[in-house]
Amino acid sequence: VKAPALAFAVAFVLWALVFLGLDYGVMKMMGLSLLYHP
Amino acid sequence: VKPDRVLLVVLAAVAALAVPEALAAGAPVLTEADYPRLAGVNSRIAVWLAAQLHLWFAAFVLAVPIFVFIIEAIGMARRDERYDRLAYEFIKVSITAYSLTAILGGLLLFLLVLLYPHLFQYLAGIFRPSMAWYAVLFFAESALLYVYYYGWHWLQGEFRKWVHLTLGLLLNAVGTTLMFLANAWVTFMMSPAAVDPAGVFSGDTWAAIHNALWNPVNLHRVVANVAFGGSIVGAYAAYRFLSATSAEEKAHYDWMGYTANFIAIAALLPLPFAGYWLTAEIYAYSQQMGITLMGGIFAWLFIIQAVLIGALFLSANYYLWCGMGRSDGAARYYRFVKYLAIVIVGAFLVWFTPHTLVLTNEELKALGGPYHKYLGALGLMPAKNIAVNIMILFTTLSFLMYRRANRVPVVGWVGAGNAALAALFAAGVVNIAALGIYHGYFTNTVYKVASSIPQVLTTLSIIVAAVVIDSLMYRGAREVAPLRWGRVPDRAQYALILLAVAFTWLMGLMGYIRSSLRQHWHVTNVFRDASADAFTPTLGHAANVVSAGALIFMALVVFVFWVSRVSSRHTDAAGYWKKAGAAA
Repeated sequence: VKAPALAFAVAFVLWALVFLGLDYGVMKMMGLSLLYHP
Repeated sequence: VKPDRVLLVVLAAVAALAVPEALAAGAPVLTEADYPRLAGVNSRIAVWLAAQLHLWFAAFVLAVPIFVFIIEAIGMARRDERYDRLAYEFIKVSITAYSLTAILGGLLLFLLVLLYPHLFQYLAGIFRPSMAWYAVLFFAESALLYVYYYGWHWLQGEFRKWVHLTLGLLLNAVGTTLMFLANAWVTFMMSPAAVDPAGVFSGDTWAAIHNALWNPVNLHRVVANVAFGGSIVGAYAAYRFLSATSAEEKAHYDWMGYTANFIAIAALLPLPFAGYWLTAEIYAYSQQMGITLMGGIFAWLFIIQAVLIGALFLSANYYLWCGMGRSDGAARYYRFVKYLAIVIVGAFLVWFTPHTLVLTNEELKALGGPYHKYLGALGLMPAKNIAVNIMILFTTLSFLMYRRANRVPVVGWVGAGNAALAALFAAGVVNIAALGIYHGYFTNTVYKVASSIPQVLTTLSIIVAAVVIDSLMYRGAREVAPLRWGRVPDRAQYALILLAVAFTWLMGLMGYIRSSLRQHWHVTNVFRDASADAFTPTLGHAANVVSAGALIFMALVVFVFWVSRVSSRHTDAAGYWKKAGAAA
C-alpha cells in the first residue's frame, strides 16, 4: 500500500471517530441517542 | 382623503408619544375607513418599498463600519498602510449611502404616520422610551461616523490612531444598538410580548423588546448585513476595476474586490445556520406561523431563495477560480476546478428541488401523486441540509485552493498534511450525509430536526480545522509565481456584481416572507389589520414589488458609486478664476 493512501486511511478513521463523538455528544445533550429508539 | 383629516391623524399619532393612556384600552379595533388614503398611492406598496429601501441602505451602512474597523485594526497590527487606505475607501462609499438611509428612514416614518396612524400610535405607545433612545443614538451615530470619516487623515500616528480605532468601535456599538432597537419593533409585530390577548400593554418595555424572535433576528441581520455590505463594496470595486485606465488602479481595485468578496463569503457561510435558528424559533413561537412560512404558499418563494443562494455560491466560487489566474502557479490546480464545479452544481440542484410540483391532472395521474418517485425525497429538508453543508464545504475547498495558487509548502509533513486534509473533508461529508439520510428519512421529526445541529457543527469544525492545518502547512511557504493583482478577467467582475444583485434580491424576497407571516394582523393575534390590503398578495405580485425595489436600490447604489468617484476628481479650470493679485 502506498504511503499517502495509508495516511489517508488512518486519518479518515481518526476523523470519523472525532465526528462520531461529536454526533453522540450533541444528540446526548439534546436528550436523544445516536441510534433511533421508537 | 381631505388634508385636514391627514393632519388630524398625524397629530394623533404624534400625541401617542406623549399620552400613555392611549394604550389602556389595548389594540384598537379598526375598520377600512380608519386608514387614510392618498390619491393614486397604494398604501401597502408605498410603505413596503420605503421600508425595504431603508433596510437595504441601513444594512449596508451598518455593515461597512464593522469590516472597516477590522481592516483598520489589521493595518495597525501589520503597520501596512495599504489596509488603512482600503478601509478609508470602504467607509467613503458608505458616507453618501448614509444620507440616503436617513432620507429613506424619514420617508418610511412619514408614510407610516400618514397611512397607518393607528398602528404607529399603538407601537409608539409601547416603544416610546426606545423610540426616544433611537433618536438620541441616531445623532450619536451620525456624529461618530462623520468624525470617523472626516478625521481619518487627522487621526494618524501612534496615539491618534488608537483614538480613531476607538471611534470606530463606538460607531459599531451605537449602530448595532440602533438596529437592535428597530428589530425589537419589527419582531414585536411578529411575536408580541408584554401584552394581553386584547393588546393591553403590561408596561414592561424590556419584555416587549426581548420578545421571542428578537435575538434570532438580531443575529441573522448582523451576519447577513456583513455579507450584503461586503457584496455591495465588491460591486463598487468591480465597477472601479472595469472603468480603471491604469494598471496600478486595476491592481488596487482587484485587491479591493477580492477582500470584499472574502468578507461577503466569510459571512455567507454561517448565514444558513442563523437562518435555521430563526426558523426554529418561529416554529417554537407558533407552529402555525412556521407552517405558513415553510409549508404553505411561501414555500414557493423558498425555491426562488434557493436559486438565488445557489447563484451566490456559484458566483463566489467562480470569482475565486478566475482569481487563481493572478498567479501562474495556479496551473497546478486547474484540473480540480471541474470537480468542485460538478459537486457545487449537484448540491445546488438538490438545494432547489421542490417537494411538490405544479402539475396538471394528467401529469398528476401519470406521476401517481404529487411527489416524484425519486426526486420527491430531494424536496425534503434533510436532503437540502446535506446539499447546503456540502456546498459550503466545497466553497471552503475553492478558497483553500486559491490560497495555495502561488505558493509551495516547505514543511516536511506535506504528504501527511494533505492526506489529513483530504480525510477530514471525506469523513466530514460522510458524517453529514449519514446524519441526514439516517435521521432525516428513517427516524421521527424530533431526530430529523435535532440531527441538523451535529451536521452544522461538522461543517464548522471542518472549516476551522482545515484553515488551521493549511495555515500551519503553508507557514513560511515559498512563492512559486508572484500574485499579480489586476491580472483577472473582466468576467470575474461581473460575478462580483451578480453577487451584489443576488444578495439584494434575496434580502427583499425573504424580508417580504418574514413580514407577511403576520398575514392579516398588524401585530400577530393582537391587532388586526382591517385595511383594504389585509390579504396575502399573489407570489407574482410580491416578486414584482421586490424586483422593482431591487432595481430602484441598484440605481441608487450606482448613483452612490458615481458620487463617490466624482468627489475625488478635479477639473483644471485655468483661466476661469481671477489671479490672487488681479482680484483687487
